[in-house]
Amino acid sequence: MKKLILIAVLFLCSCALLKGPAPFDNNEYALINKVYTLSEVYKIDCGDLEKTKANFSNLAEISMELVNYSSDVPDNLDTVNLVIPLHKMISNANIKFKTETHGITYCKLKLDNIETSAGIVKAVVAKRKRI
Amino acid sequence: MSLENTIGKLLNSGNPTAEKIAQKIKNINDALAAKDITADEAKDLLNDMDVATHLAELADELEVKILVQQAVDALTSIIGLLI
Repeated sequence: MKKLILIAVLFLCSCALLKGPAPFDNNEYALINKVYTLSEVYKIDCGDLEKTKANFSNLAEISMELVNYSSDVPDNLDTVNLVIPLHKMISNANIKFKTETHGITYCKLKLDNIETSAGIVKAVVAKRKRI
Repeated sequence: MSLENTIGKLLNSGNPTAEKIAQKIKNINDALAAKDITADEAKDLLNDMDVATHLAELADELEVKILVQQAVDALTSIIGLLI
């Protein structure tokens, strides 16, 4: 019996040393959800050049905020690796819409792509452990 | 295999992410055929598909880590109750 207790204690200690992904974070999830939601909502403005520029600029700002926030959360490398490519995609789109002229279809498809990628990140982040 | 066949297979793959990405590739192809987007724009949109695929892989890895963590936590609490 003593041996069993010793093994169990050792197992518990080793489990404590195993660091899993960071737990669910409300602020982080809210930022990802905002990128996801706005990329859908902004499609309606694709016919308006000025609004589109402002919308992509806002999305780039939110995704930068997300990267900055996620980077400071301990044990959060997995999420940081997810949000950085998402931010790059949005940031590149923001530069494109600021410097070039694009049609409505491209704007809608670009927002659709952002929505898909943000949706992938959002879904897995929501599954993290609640504490 | 033609693009239509490949897209058709992906759309019926049963994998939600693969189906979503296939639908987007179809939309890009349709928009390009209708000349609603330029070839450069189509190329740029297809690059986004690579990002989405990469994100899906990373998300799968993270999901496995989350599940392992849940299993370890559950077993730890069971052992905690036993001793």
